[in-house]
Amino acid sequence: MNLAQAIRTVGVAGLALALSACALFAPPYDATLDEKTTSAYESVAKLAAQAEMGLYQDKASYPATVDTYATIQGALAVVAVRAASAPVAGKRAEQARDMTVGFIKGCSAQVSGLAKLHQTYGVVPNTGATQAMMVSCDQAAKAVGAMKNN
Amino acid sequence: MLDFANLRIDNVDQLVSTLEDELGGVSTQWWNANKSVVAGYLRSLAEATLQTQVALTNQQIPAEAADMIMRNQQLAFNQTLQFTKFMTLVLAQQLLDATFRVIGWVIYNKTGVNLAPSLVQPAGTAAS
Repeated sequence: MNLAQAIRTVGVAGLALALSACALFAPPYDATLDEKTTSAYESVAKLAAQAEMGLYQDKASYPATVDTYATIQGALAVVAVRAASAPVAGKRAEQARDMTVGFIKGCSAQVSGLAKLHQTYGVVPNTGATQAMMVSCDQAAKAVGAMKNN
Repeated sequence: MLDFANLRIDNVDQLVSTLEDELGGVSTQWWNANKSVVAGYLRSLAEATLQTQVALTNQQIPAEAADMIMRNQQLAFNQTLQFTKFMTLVLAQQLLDATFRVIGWVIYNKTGVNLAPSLVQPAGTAAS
């Protein structure tokens, strides 16, 4: 193999490996995003635990809880914006990124759903009112951390 | 085919089993590919559903509140279906990375040239 062939071979191999390292199917892991999402998820879990312990059974408790809902929604809005800016290198990775943003927004929509239930009827413990929110937010957290240790 | 008119579910396990059979009936291929991801969420849905049903029966909540709760459950399960698609993409990326991590190391160990710095990180170096 002469020098020109060697350079070409290394160049082709380099291009292939450089491409392989790109986010073709899913965005790369973002530790800051993971940390912020986990923090928001912990706040959601606390809200659900308080609801299941009867703290929000009376709808009159809603005004005093608005700040808690707003804090959680603010945190989720921040992570949604960050997740939407993750670098991707293809349509499928873009799809995965959009799905991640969708899961975060799904979590946010569930928090809004619980707030509406709270405001309208109160949240009665053990009535299945908080599980949907926990599921959606769990998936958001898992999606953000899916590429960790890869 | 389920006899819906005579469907009587008394506990979570029965509901989980019924839901699993129904999903497997819609698509065995999909169920077999995704049951490891979906199973936990399906149980959570079953537990919540029976809680809602009991609360409604005991008039702890009005029908309108139960309706709101079940709509939220529907949204959450729709998201779960999206989540299975997402995990397929994540798996593809992990397989791609695993393959080219090996190839990158093979080349690096013989040549000293690191063609995949985000996957091949020799001691004392940092990912770009």
